[in-house]
Amino acid sequence: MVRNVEITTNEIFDLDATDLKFKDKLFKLPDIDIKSLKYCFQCTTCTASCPISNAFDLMPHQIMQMISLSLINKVINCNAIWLCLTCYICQERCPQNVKITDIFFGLKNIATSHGLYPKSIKLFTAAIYENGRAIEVTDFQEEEREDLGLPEVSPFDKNAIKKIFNKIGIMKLFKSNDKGD
Amino acid sequence: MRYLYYTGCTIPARMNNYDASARQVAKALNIELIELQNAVCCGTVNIKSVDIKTWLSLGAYNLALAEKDDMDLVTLCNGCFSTLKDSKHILDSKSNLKNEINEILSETNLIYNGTIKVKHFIEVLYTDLGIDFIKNKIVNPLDNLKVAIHYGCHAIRPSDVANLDDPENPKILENLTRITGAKPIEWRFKDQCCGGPILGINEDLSLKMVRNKFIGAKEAGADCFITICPFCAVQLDVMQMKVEQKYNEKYEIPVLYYTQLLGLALGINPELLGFDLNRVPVNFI
Repeated sequence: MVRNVEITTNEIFDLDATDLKFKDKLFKLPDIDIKSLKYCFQCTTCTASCPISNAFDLMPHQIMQMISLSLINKVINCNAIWLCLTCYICQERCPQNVKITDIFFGLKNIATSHGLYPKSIKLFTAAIYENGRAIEVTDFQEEEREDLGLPEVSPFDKNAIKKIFNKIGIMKLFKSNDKGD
Repeated sequence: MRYLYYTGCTIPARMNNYDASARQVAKALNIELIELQNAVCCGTVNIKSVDIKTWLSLGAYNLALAEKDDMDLVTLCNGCFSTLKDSKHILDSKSNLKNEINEILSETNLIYNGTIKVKHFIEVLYTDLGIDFIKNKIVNPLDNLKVAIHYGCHAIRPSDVANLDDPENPKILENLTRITGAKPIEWRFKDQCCGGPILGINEDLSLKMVRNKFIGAKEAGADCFITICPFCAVQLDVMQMKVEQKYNEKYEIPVLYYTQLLGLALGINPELLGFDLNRVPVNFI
């Protein structure tokens, strides 16, 4: 396996590549703990534990280092953050208690706010906004339920979802600068 | 025993065999399940990826709704379990954030206080009822059935949130399986993710991951998989034929929810346990 991603000295001091506000933005998100990241000593336990790190363009430990160096462009453009299975094995095994999987969620939030997200994420979010449910229940499933003696599916509160989404403005993330594919 | 019951999105839309068998098992064990009304989708990892604050608000909404009744909230789905428990874990430890989320919730006239408890249905069986209680009700032991147990990551990790079992070497499902007479077996790839979360992002990789499961279970001589997560069941059961076609291989390993296995052992009519909806035919009933 080739791991050819390098962080060069030039990049570290290249102010176009670094965004010093990036870390502030990341660690202002709810439940993203910067204190934990500071203890990362690049042991690569996270990368070794990840069942699919071989398929990542950046290894989890490299991503942790790049956050420390504020290398926003590399981090929010990598495929690794979206391939993360969220299985939490890396976070569970980290000897320094870095909240790696949680930090990945924060990175996905920032990538999304920059218009960088997979199409499936956009479709899923739109479905919840429109229907209150991620997957709609059809007449076919209602019949299935009737045959099994199950009650009709309790309706979800579509208006509540709309109120919450609108108050936060989450759907606006997808309208402007849409690069989802 | 009475519980509020939240089935989420996937189960009523795709996995009515899980809902049916859980309700049948609950009835047989005198557990009353009262469905949470006017809930919303939990948001799961997808909304958490888009915007953590929105995800927390959906979690808080469902929790606040459930707090109106004086019962614990029970879920069958690992995704809902993880989201609800994680939301609670975060909101209860950060009062500023809780106030901020309550401000968003005020749009819906709800307020989250933090009094609710969230439980996975297997936790109700294992902790609230207990092994001995259930063991006494077994009338149809499934002796000689070899099962490959598959927990699903979010039931046990992150362990400080799930707080259900050992994050690397869980035993709850093994113990619950043994009382049915069935034998949990050791098998390769048991503790790995099923690949489900990336099915919509990289299908090839996702199917490659679940293929490992089929190979591991087959070589260990498993008669079936046992799972407690509808997303893992999508991978193991719904996608099994697709993987067989893609790789030109045959596995034919049935995938049962734990509640279906227990239902059989409790002597419940298999028709009521939804076996017709299992994608890989369950040939040993």
